[in-house]
Amino acid sequence: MDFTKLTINQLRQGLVDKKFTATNIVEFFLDRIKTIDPQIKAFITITDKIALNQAKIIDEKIKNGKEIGKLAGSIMAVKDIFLTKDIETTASSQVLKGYIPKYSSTVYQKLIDQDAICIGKTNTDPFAFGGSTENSGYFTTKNPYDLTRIPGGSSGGSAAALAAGLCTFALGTDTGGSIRLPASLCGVSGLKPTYGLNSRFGITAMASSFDCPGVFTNFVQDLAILTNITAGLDLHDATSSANPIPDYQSLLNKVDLKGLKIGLPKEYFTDDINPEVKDSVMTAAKVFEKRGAKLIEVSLPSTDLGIAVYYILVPSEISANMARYEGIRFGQSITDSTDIISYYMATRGAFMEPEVKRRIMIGTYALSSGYYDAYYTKAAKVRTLIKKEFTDVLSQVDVILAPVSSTTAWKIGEKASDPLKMYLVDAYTVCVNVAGIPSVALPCGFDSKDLPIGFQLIGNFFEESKILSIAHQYQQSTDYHLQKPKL
Amino acid sequence: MKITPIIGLEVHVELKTKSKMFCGCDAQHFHVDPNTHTCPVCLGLPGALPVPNIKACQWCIKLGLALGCTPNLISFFERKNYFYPDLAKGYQLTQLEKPFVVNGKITIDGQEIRINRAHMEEDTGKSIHITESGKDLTLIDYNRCGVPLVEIVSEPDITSPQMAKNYLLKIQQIVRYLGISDADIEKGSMRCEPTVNLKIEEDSKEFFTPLAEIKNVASLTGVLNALNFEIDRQTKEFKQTREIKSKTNKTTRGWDAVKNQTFLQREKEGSSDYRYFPEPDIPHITFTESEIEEIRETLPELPDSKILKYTNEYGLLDYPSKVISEYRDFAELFEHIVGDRKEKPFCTFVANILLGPFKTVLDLGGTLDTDKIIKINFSELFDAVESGKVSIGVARDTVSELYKSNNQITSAFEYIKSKGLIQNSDSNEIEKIAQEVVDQNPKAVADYKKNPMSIGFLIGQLMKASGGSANPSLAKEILEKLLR
Amino acid sequence: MSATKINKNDLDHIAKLARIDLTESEKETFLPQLESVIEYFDVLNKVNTDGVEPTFRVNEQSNVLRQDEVKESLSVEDALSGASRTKDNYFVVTRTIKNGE
Repeated sequence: MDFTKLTINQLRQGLVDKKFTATNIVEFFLDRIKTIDPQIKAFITITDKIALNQAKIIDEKIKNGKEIGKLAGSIMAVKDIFLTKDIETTASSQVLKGYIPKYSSTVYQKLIDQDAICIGKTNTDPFAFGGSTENSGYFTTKNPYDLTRIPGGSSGGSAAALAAGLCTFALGTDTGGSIRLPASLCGVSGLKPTYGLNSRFGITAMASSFDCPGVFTNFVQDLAILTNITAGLDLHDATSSANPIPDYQSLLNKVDLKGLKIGLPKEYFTDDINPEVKDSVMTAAKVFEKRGAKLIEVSLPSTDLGIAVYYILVPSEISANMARYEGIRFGQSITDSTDIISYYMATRGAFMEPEVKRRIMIGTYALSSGYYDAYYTKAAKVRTLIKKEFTDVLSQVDVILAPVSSTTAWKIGEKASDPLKMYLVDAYTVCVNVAGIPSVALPCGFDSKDLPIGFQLIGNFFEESKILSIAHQYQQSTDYHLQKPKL
Repeated sequence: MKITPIIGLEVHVELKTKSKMFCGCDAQHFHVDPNTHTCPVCLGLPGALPVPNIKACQWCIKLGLALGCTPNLISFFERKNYFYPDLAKGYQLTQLEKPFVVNGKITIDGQEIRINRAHMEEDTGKSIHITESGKDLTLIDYNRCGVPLVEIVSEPDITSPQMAKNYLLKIQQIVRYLGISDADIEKGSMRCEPTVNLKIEEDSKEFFTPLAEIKNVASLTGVLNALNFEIDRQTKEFKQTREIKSKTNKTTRGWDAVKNQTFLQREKEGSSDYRYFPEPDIPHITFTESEIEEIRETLPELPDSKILKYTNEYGLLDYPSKVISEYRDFAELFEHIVGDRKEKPFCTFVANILLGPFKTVLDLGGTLDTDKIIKINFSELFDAVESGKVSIGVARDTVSELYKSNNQITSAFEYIKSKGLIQNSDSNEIEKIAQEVVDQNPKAVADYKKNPMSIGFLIGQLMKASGGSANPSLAKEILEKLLR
Repeated sequence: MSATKINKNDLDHIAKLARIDLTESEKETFLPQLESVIEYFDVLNKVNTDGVEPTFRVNEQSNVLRQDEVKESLSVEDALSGASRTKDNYFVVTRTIKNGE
């Protein structure tokens, strides 16, 4: 049985029908990980014993006729910035090497409570700072479609693990594109929900007003099932939304594609994009057109300001969120210091990766006395403009369709030495984060090198059910999401 | 040279909420085993997020209203960024641009002291410095980290160290009246940092000395002494250097209570750039006008109003009014006993009885069983004293005794009667006894004729002969008349 | 500090504010990188933001507050579990103040 091809519901049903056991499933994936992961290095920690133990518990429940969770039979890979109780959580940084938290992220716990089985913690850029996993304090993950290329980032390990068939679904976070970019570069589906839909509690904070936990799956239906479980008010997160959560799964066919107004923002379709990518995304748009949707050119004039806004506000919040990493209550530290200032400088200097240091310094600079108004406040004002542009356009069209990346997966090392170049890969994803609205990334083709191409459907605040429904119907007309790398 | 001190005070009051400001940990930290009241939030562990305590916010508004402040209907928290081990997150959650309340005032020694703002913030952990195997280390306990603090900032309207002390006492009193904090300076639930400089007038010119912020004044005496020292030091320094206040020469000085002096603290390098920005993890907080009114309705009558009431309506003098209103429970006990009988003699009587051992209990930090006290019929007792049946001394002692005892006696008068302590104010009877005493003590009479101050002996004899029941002042009067 | 360029002193100052030690080679690498990023920010100078309110939080909630109730804390073992140095249930760090201060 090839468990990589089954949906969440099919896996669960298989257990209920006693076609296979949870242990079968875990052993299957552990075998694949053993053979394949050394090539792609998606995992930092593989939780084989825990997974087998969890499988045993589920199999016992089935044997005794007890109720099993909605995710029983599903194998979950978890981005290593999600805290997982009693399982090492490194955030892919040397700062947290060996750190075993005593509490879990809310999103992770909700999935575990539904009997999802954690098979391992995946590689990321350290603390999610990056777009390729090359900044990881441990190693770079390889794109399963071409091992000389990056998988995208920061949730590169999660996207690669799923693409390589090493799990049923994977957890990630999207602060500036870190779910959508790797999803597109690895040919899988990923949802960045509305800010506040999923709780941020228990995930190492990058930018507090941008971070969005989300999921990677092979099927949109699975995005819906998982989001129904993870979404909702968390009393531990004051920014989590109190809105009632719709049943996304039952709404997957709700949107009528006939007459649907799809906005194509011209700023996202310039000559800066690789022509193969552009073609592929336009082909996806035409799939909707064939089903009766109207493609309308729209404009988001502040698009090219997004990177500047993002890279001022995000490092500013990073610089404060990273201040707690000084090795006193957790994390690695230098023990021989003559005074407290030297202690701080030596500890943080010794273990923080270069990109971590860079972002903290950019943020410290932008917030510092004399610069706050010119940078931080200014960027926050432009943020208002960008947000308003989206909501204005989304009041005229039903959804926005756009590319996710201007290129397909690039070679390892190609952009790593130039931080600004690396920041610019986020050009088509960051504005969505600046605004706080949801977006789902879907595979829509391959380039001439057989590298995956993806596109995104962007909705207004809390319109997950709408974009998931449109995405689901796209997958019913296409089969890109079923294609997998040859490993 | 005319020197006028210019003093501003920053006071931190620790609120006695049950839980901390941003998490549900128990807010108690005094004499609690280290690091037993901590959680990911107050320890600043990865991924932890703050959620504000509604009661703390309401109490901050309440305090602001009591200080005559205007609430900001929309306010929010900000991050104050600096590195120190007792600050778990590497930033303190506080308020800068939009504190909960602004622009209040209180009157101290007849002077109006303006209050710039009162805002909410969180406390830090505690550090203990030790040396072990030759290594200097600091031990940290985060139990106090995250406990709610209200910071009250005054304008520099205070003009003397004594006024500063009185301001602090007033803030302490108001905070205790509201029941929101113990405001104990020794225990650290109220802390203060004065900032002081001088206005020096010389040859019709005005000079202002550089500002000095004084840290580590751990008592009211410390405040007085530190300010006096600083005024002296700044005067001397100005005479020497003629340096005047500028934007960049404000200093931070520590108070050394042992050496009785302030000393320049090594500037915590980089600590002055706090890089404040609005807290993204906490949505802004709004109060409606009606919610503010609801909070205003929970304000008790405050000390200054009580003093006016006691002097104007109850006929008490200034001093007893001040002392009775010192503690809210005590003032309310007094008012309860007085009830509707707001006549000066009765009120004075009740005040006299209460001020004394009962007040002392409170001054020493104890508590009173007010239920027991209000059971005693003060009205009846007062009438007995007025009619001469009971001496004021017996009345006072009896109330104390009844308070200490476990029996349920409510009528002090009946109790006194049962002990045979009813005073004899029958003039005829006393005259009879007086005559006997005079007859039996010719030497004493002769002494008295020479020195009227020696009547005490004869009074004593009369008291003895009457079994202690004679009304002493009546006895004196009758004896004097007899011996004329 | 100049508005569009940062020099080595600025870098040192920021690193100190951020409490991060940089090796000489790191300083040499970071300086041009930070310079180019900060210069890139100038693109915002051309934007007219007169009368625009800044957005600090994207969702428009307010008054997310918690009742004053005591909830369970971490056990002291769990609280200390991540620390590399502890003593008698305290966290341990290099002495923060010198003797005589």
